[in-house]
Amino acid sequence: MTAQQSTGTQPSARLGRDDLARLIASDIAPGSYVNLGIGQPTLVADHLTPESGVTLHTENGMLGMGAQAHGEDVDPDLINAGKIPVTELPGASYFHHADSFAMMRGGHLDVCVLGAFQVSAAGDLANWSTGASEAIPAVGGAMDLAAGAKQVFVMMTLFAKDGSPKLVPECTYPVTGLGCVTRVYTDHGVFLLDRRSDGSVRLVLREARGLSVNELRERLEVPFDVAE
Amino acid sequence: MIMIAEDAAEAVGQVQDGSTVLLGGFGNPGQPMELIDALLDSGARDLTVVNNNAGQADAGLALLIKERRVAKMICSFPRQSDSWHFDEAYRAGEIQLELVPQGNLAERLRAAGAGIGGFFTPTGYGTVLAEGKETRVIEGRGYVLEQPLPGDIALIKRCAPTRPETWSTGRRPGTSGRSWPRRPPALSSRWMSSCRWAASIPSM
Repeated sequence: MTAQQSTGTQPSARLGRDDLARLIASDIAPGSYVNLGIGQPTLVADHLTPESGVTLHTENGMLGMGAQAHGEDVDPDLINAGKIPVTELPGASYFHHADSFAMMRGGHLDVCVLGAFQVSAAGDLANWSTGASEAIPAVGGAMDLAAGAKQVFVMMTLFAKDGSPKLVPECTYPVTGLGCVTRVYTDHGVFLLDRRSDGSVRLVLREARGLSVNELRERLEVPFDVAE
Repeated sequence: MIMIAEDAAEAVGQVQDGSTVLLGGFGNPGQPMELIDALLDSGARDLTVVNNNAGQADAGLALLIKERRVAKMICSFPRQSDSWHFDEAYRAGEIQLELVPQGNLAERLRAAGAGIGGFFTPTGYGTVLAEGKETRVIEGRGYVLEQPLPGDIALIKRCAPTRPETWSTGRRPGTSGRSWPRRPPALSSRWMSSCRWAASIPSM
C-alpha cells in the first residue's frame, strides 16, 4: 500500500468521520485522561472500550463521564461542555470550574481532541473564530484546552468546502493557541507534528488516503515527510 | 456572618444599580431562576453580570438581558443556538461584552475570592484575547497577566440546608449548581435562595 502511494497510483479510500474517531480512540494510550471537544470529537467516545481505562473529562466539571443520556437517563443538570445530557460512570467525580481548568492548564490531561478551522505547520491552532466582523465572538474552553493538554489532537477535514487547505503555512484565522497541536487527523491521513529540539516542527504523514502523496504535496502549501 | 433571608426578594434586595452580579449556572442548568426573577422584580439595572454564557431561551439571565438590565456581560461563550436576547442586544450595541477564556474566567473569580492580586496564565497567550495585557515568558513559556474578578453579590442555586456549612457542592457539573442526587429530594421546595455568603464572594 505504501509503495503504491509513493508512486502516485490509486490510494486507499478517504477516511470517514467514524473511521477517524476509531483511529483516534485506538491511538489513545490506556489509562489516559481525555477531553473530547464539542462536535465531531465526541464521536471518539463511541470507540473507547471500558478495558482501555480511559477517563473522560468534561470542562464544566466532571471526570468519569459516560455516554450520552437518552430517555429516562436524562438529567437536565447532568450535561457535558456542549450542554448535551450525559451519564456518569462508576467512580465519577464532580468539581468546580477553577479546579476543572487547573486540571487542564496544569498539564494533567493526557489528550484533548478538538475540531479546527486551520492548523499551521508550526502547530498553531485556529478553531474559535473566523474573524468575521459581524459574528458574535465565543471562545469557551478552547484556549485553555489548547494551552493545557499534554497532547492536542485535531480532527478535521484536510480541505475546506471551497477546496482550500486547512493545514497551512500560517493561520489566517485568529489563533486559539500557539504551537500546541501534536497530531492532525484528517480524511486524507494523519499528520504527526514532530517537534525538534530547536523548536521547529517536522510534519510527517502516516498514510495518505483518498489522494496520492504527490497529489497532497501539490495541494498543500506545507512540506511534509511520509512515515516509513 | 450568616443571615437568612425570608424570601428571594429580600435576598436580592441589596443589589444596586451598577452592581456586579456573579451568576451560577452553565447555560440554563444550575441557574438560580427564582433569584433572577426576584432581581427582575427589584428593578436593579446597569448590572455587570458574570456567567459562563449569556442566557439561553426565555428564562433567567436571558430575561435580564431582554429587559436591558445588563449593561455588561463577562463570559466565555455568549453565542448559543438559543441566545437570541443577547444576540439582539449585542447587535443593537446595547450591551458590552468582555469575552474571557473559560478557565481564565473561573480562575479570575477564584483569585478574587482567594485574595490573589492577579496571575500569569498560558491560556490565551499570543491570541487576540491577550491584546493589551501584560505578558511574560517564564522558563520558555508565554503567559498572560489576568486580573482578579470580584463581584458585589453571587447568586447560586443550591439545595436547601439551612446552614451554609452543610451545603453540599458539586454533584453536578457547572460553576455552581444544584447539589442533589439524581432526583430532587423533598427539600427542594425550600431552596435556599441565595448566597451573599457564598465562598465566591470575595469582599464579605
